[in-house]
Amino acid sequence: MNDRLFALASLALAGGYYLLARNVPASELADSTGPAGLPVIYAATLAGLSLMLLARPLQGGSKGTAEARLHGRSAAKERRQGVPVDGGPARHVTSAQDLSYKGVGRAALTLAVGAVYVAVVPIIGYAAGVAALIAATAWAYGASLNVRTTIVAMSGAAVLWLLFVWLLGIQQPPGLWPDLVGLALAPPGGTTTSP
Amino acid sequence: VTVLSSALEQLLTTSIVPAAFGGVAWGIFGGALPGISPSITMALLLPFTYGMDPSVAVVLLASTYVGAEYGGSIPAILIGTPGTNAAAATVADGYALKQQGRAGEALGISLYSGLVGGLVGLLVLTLLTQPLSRVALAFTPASYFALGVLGLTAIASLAGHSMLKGLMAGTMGLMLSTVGTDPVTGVSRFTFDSPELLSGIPPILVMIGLFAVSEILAQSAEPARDRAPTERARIRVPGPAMWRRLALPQAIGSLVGAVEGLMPGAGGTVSSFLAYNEARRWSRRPDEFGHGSPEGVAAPETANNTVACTALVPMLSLGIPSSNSAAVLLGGFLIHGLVPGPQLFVKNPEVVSGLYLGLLVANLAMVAVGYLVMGPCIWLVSRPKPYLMAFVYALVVSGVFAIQASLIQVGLALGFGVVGWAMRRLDVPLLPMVLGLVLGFMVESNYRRALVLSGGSRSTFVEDPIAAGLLAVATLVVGVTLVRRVRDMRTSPR
Repeated sequence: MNDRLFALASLALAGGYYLLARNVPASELADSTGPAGLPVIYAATLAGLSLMLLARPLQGGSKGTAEARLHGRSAAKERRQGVPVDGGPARHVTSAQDLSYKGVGRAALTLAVGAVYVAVVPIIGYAAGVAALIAATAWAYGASLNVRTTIVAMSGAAVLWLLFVWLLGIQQPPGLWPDLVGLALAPPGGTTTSP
Repeated sequence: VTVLSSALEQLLTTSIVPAAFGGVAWGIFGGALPGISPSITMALLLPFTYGMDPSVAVVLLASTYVGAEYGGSIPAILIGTPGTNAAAATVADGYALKQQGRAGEALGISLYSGLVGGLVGLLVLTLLTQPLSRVALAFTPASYFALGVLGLTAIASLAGHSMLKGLMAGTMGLMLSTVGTDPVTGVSRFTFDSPELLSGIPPILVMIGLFAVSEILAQSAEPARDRAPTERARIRVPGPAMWRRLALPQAIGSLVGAVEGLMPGAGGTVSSFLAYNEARRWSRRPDEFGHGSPEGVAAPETANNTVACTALVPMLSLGIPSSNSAAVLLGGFLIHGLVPGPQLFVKNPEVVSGLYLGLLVANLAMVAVGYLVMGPCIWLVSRPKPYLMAFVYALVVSGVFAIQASLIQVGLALGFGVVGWAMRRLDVPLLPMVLGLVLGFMVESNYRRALVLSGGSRSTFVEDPIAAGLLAVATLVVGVTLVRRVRDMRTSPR
């Protein structure tokens, strides 16, 4: 089923890429292949490979290499054991499907944390943004939002700020704080002008 | 004498030594964290290397690789969980030794076997890379095209258990490489009028997304570790009798690592398991394997540290990354405008010699750093997974922003993280995509240049002796891989 899903997505990608490749503007400097030449070949190759994957009969399970089988066994063993999060009690995983749904949910949550960070960091600034990111990611991973998490988030943000901004001199988004501080410090009723 | 004095001058006048020490320390920390592979540890460092001298940057990354291969054995021995895939072969005997109260001995065997493997690997790297580069001046655009094709054939062995999906991922990588300005005509392709995409999609973003972000997303669904080191282990130096006993497994590990490192796609994991099996086969005490055999720790640890050097042979000499970590190191070269391959030895010989020296320092430094960071390492491995991974996530977004002060690039890295996560779930290998991306430009630009120079005649690819030879080798590689796969399919039990 996974293979079919991948094949269909790849087929759609090949189609979209082909249409875009056909619209690449021609150039007077163009060689015999042209700027769209290889992209069209790539699109056709991907489409062909996707069709081959689609045409392949559904398999009950992959055989895999010795290494893959080994990793598969150890991963399955870990899942069966349902080892605990953060030293807590062992969590019994009832089925692989349960883990799969939870996996998608947690991954989506973790991704959303990153996306929200990108959206809000220009406003709230790096230090506050990265502290919030650490706290929210820890929560998405199963930690409680308590004092400990808050302390970890703030110290983590402090370490990263010191590393990037102070030690390496790499600017991170300052947020609106400099503007707000400037407004607060500006003389009442007047504007500051630089000489 | 001239070479030695020049090497000494390079060591003293550049920051290679601190970079080697720093890289090894960072690598040991990263390797010790289960789930954080050597390639991820290296990818996390990439943004920091932007402002560095190219020689120092590549030494930092390569030393990280060296340190990570050893670091993976620390949790393997102390908590029975490998820090890296390659250390999985160390778990059985390393953890058994720990349970017998011999954790310090196991850590010492791992550390010193890693040193032996690293030095042997460095010797192989130094001896083989230079001869391969001697044909540099004879390379034409047709030869470079053929070289790119040869590199792409590595997909055949990197594709895991589905070559079809590996080929599809590789093609997607080639498609990604076409984004940006066309190498011949200067026309914009697939940029959607975004100036940020004119220079193409930086491979560093793709690598950080595919390797690091996807791992963070995938780990969120994995149960946390339930075991933490309960004792303060101290590394013990193996005695003379133990050294004699370890000589054979270390020789086997070095040999297996040297050969496997040169093969595309084999990497440290395969070589570790092969070395373990061979060491057991040749051992006088095969029954001890799995129950705390020092040889069972020495062989895989020697092999994976040998690979950390020998995997750089095809990358340095031909510009072909044969493993995830080599691909990230290639990204480090590209960031600084260095193109690995034949021309590197002509245009930037100081980078190559700096890398050799740096790897020598890194392997020696591993012993000293290994002792120093053991305590902090155990502390780090014991941190709760949610906090640890949250910090790694914060490091990723901060590092990506630092590259070009662009939040769009952070978004792109997250996007590639989703792609990587989906590929993992759909059992599609990641490395072929990276390979397609990093080799795509070489393949396309040289294919078209060769045709322009030959007046459009495609026979140039068979008339050029180097191109014809490389294409013949590429065909041979694909043929052999296909035959092996068919044989494996017939012999594997259902």
